[in-house]
Amino acid sequence: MPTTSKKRTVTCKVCGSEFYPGEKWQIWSDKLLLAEGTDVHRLLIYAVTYYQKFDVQVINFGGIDELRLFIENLHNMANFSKVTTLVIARDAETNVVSAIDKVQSAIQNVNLPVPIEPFQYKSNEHIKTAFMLFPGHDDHGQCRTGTVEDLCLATVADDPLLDCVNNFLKCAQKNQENDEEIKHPWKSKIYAYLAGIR
Amino acid sequence: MVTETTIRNFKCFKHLTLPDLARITVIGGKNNVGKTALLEALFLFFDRTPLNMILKQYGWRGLANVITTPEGMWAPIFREYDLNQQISISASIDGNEESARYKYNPNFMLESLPTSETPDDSKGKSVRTDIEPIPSFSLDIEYDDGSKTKKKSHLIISSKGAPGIKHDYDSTGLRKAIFLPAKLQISPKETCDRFSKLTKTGREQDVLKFLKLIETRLKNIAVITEGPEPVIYGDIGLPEMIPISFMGGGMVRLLDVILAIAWCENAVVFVDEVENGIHRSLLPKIWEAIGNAAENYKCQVIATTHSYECLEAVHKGLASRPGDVRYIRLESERDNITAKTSNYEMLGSAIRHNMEMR
Repeated sequence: MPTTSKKRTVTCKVCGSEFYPGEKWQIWSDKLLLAEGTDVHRLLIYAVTYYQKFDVQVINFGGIDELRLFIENLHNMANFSKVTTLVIARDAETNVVSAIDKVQSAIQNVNLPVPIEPFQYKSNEHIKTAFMLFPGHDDHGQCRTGTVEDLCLATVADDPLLDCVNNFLKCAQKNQENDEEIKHPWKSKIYAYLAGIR
Repeated sequence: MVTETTIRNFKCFKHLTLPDLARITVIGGKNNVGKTALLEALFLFFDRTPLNMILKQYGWRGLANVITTPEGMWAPIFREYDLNQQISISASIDGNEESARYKYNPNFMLESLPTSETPDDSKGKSVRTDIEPIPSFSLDIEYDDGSKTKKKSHLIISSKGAPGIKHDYDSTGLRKAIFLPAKLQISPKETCDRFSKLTKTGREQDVLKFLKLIETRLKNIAVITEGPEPVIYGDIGLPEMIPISFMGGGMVRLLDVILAIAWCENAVVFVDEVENGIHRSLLPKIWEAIGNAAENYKCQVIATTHSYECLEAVHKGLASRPGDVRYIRLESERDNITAKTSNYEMLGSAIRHNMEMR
């Protein structure tokens, strides 16, 4: 989590970058990675730091319904003409086709090259674009439904603690009033897992 | 209302197109990118009759004198000071395509010859029989409003350096526009004339309501002549009314803005650095009031700003009329200035995401 120092800067504990509270952000890189929401944003900041891709600017665009306006504004910002790579990362959620469609239409809206499939670049003479859908492909190369939390949990699939988490969630679901579904079960699952690890 | 405009070779603009202007259009961008120049170009397009149509724009920028040569008087409005270029400003106004072209002409022939006084002036003046007409310098201006004949004007500098103007058309009934410069205050007389016109039609309450946004104690305003010129005074509950200018720069700014909108009914008001002198906390209310006044008086307001807070205020204050709002950011790209247009929804999204959009 970022902490505030005396110099009125905020330092990210993950990547060590300094931010200035109150200042508006600008495009400073020719490689942009747009993330859907805070969790994807943090994961991608961690990823670019881990892989030492310090020339990639990771930006949180908020919820998927905000993507269209966000890209329109991004397209209008200073230095966008210098951007050579634009990648959008979001969750597939429950409908892969709809998830792809929303990203494609947002890209199309500002006349950028529209990738046909996830994880593939489409380019013109100025820029290449791509989009990622989490949790990613299955063994048959098909995009899976789900979220970035599913991708994270897949890395600990063999951990016996997951059995406890699954049992807990089954029990919690059984005790919901009016048989309502647990909201955001993927988040509940990962938080329960994180709460259970040493 | 101007909904679209293209400017070529005016000051810093090689070729600038603004494809989507609205009733309230706010212009932003970094220093020296041409925000004021854009207002000046559009204002010049409307300001067609005065001899000082260009000179007064220099005055707004703080230049007190210029040399009466084409280089001194006209070159500064040409891109790269190059008098050989042709300036053109075109606009779509209420659906009608109109344009103006400004071209330097070093061989303009005056239609009159210089005369001399005679010893007995009652017998008339004298003219030399061997005189040859001497070419003057002219800035030839051609207006095309879509009608059959183009309207021509000439700003002239005679061979003796005297500025003049000649219109080859009937210049009555032209559209009105007002320019409120960033620094200079409108003359008190002009302000009083505008206020008096409103008072005559019983609309002075609009002004009072507007000014109350800053000075809540204000009960009444009136034109009072004590010295050589009339001045607008306000009653804030003191034993005597006091000049509005004593209530602060923000009040004067606000008075200029509301009087321009109300006086300039059905026209365009240009405001350079609109937020000057106004505290940020009041800006949303002021934009709301500007939006209401612009609609009531069928006016278009085109304003510049440097301030993010002003843009936030535009978004907040004009929430009830999103279709009336555009924000245009000017950007210097390579050797040209380009415009990036945002509508109300985009402006809101940029603010929510803390994007730098100035």
